[in-house]
Amino acid sequence: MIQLNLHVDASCVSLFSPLLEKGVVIQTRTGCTLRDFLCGQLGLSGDYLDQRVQTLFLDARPVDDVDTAVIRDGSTLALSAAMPGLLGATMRKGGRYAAFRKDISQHTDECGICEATGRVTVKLFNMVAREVGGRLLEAGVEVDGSDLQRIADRYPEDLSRIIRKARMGDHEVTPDKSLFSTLSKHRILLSVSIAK
Amino acid sequence: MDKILRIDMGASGGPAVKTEALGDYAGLGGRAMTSAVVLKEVPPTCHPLSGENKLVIAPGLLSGSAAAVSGRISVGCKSPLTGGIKEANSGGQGAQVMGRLGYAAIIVEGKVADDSLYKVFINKDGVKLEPAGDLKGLGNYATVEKLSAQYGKKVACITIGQAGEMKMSAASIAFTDMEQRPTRHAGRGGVGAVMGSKGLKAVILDDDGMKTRSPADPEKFKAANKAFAEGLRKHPVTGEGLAAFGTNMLTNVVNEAGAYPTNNFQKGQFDGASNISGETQAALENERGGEGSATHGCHRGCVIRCSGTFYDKDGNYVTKQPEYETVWAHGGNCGIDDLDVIAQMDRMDDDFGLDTIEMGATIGVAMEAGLAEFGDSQGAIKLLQEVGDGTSLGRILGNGAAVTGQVFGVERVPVVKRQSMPAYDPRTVQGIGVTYATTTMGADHTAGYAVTANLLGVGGSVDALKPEGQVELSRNLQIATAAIDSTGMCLFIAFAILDQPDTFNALVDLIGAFIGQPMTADDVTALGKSVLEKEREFNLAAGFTAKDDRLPDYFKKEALAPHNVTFNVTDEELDTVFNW
Ligand code: SF4
Repeated sequence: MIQLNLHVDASCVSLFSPLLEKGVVIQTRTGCTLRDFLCGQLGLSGDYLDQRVQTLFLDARPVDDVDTAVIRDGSTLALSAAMPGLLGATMRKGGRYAAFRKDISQHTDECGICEATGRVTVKLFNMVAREVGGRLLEAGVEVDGSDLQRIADRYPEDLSRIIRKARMGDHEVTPDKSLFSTLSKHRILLSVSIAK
Repeated sequence: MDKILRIDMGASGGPAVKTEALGDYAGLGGRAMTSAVVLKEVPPTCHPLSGENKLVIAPGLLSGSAAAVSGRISVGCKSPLTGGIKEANSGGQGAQVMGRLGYAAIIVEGKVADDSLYKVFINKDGVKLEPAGDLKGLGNYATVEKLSAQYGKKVACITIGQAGEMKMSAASIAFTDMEQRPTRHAGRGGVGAVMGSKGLKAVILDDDGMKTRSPADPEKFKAANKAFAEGLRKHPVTGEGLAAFGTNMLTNVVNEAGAYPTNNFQKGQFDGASNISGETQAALENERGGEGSATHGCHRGCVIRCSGTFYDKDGNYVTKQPEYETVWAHGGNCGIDDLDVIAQMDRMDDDFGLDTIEMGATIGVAMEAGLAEFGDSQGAIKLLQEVGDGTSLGRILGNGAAVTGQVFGVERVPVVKRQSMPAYDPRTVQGIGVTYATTTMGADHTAGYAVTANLLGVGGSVDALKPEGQVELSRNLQIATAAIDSTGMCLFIAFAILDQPDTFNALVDLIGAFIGQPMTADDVTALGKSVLEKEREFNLAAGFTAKDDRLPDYFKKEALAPHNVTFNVTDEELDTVFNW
């Protein structure tokens, strides 16, 4: 895996949102509840989780109770704010219509002790991506080089303006088109920090 | 709104207009008005394109007033697509302008004796009906451009494109938006074909010199409207999410839930979803900039503003921000993940005057038939162009997914009562499946979209993935939706009134203060029920039976990935939806 650190202008962090929508992989402790994972390891506040994150999917199953659903090695967790529409209301955490989709809902699980480390895919949508995404990217996430290249391809002329500095492993590199095309076939451990 | 305009296109000596008092239709608006007129005046067994069918255009009860988000308009008739009663709902400026002109309904009856076309101009001085031969064969954009040159930039236009003139069952009726572009459509059920069959190309509404409609109790109305608008603004969905990302913010979530119909309902998840999501769309629109790019209203007075404007990479206007259903229909349902292609097809639909849901579903069926590959965007554009051009293939496609499936021998055709299903797979959220099956309209997401049922005291906690209770749930949602459709309120208010009881109370007070008599939740329920009863009565008389209230068989047999679920509500249960 190639380690890549990008220093970007604060206003440009959102350009990396497509990575969060598709899902980024993080190495984490597993076997704990979603609340432990989101608050203890990703650094969300309890209030933010309870009020802002209204819709959660664990392995495509809507979650009602973040205190009983358990994160495992290989899990995919998606977070979203409240959604419009009957479907939005139906998928909402513990909402009035949660019973609508009981058969696909995430059920209570036995919570082990946060016993091991594993790989978890995290997807962030809409307002949640805007508000939490920067922190996640700064901490470091695993992505496909091809997804990074797709973003770079959208701004071929502006890469040097958007990315102030890039380091690959221990070396400084030039963040141009050819860098991202070289990386496109690799898994990347990416961290995005705000340039001071 | 104290009068009705009747336009008799088949009058001896040429089309004639007549204004009359409301009579039996007093107090009705929107869907309550259109369905009452259709039931009373249209013979249920008539041919939808005959002179006996009537086209009814009715603003909501509160349209033309200062009530927030009250600019929705209903179009009703016997549908050429379903053969049953139809109410198609639209945004745009039409409702507000028509309300201020004082018309509770325009009823178009009869049909021209030859293939000539007419337009109707309505302002404070009266109504003028004139030949419109110069508009023949024009798309909605060119039609509105000509009307604008003649009547000015401020009028609201109601028009049909080539699809309506060709009387295609997927033809819509366009309503101009705040920029006088024909981007808002009464899309479903082929209402444009009925307008075309009558020989009416355009209705032009000019409210210059007319006042905003005044409520019976101005003080109470003002206070309730303020509380209502504040409630919408403070809710995270209506005050924040819809404005930032539009309805297309649903793409990622529906896809994650495994309920996103992909490649003509073959799968419940689309690999390219994040390329066409609301998040991606908003980022693209913000990046390209331009007037009203990522946040815009479809009419004046909307405080939610779920819409936007789509510009191409060079900054040229393409279309309004394609909404969730359109992005799904021309996107994931056809395996296409390119927002520029989807926007181009939305523009083509708006110009030809076509329902985006029906056309996306039809192209999906055509792809399954091998007319193009899933994911082939140029192939999809070519098929849509055939419709606008009126080629033989285009005329098949323009008559919708059911006809296309029949002609090309496709079994997987996602329709109910011959109308295409929208963007939620009924196997994953079965309560929506019950609504698709039983609504009077043919598969329709807006019937049952209002999540107000609990607040109306008619809901309850129901397990939508188990048969028990879904029927009751769907019934209650359909009642609530029919009532909201009659007020002129946009259905997107539902989220704020679901979550915030004070906002719901403000809405009930708002309606009460406007009409001058206090409303209760029971009154709203009674209104919704009476609308549905009328629609059912019409459909029964038109020959519909319980067998029409079914999903296609394959939904019971083909399990949908990733949850591997089939639709398991029994026919017997479906048959009890309307037992109240
Ligand atoms: S919320 Fe959207 S659809 Fe509803 S009235 Fe406002 S802009 Fe139109």
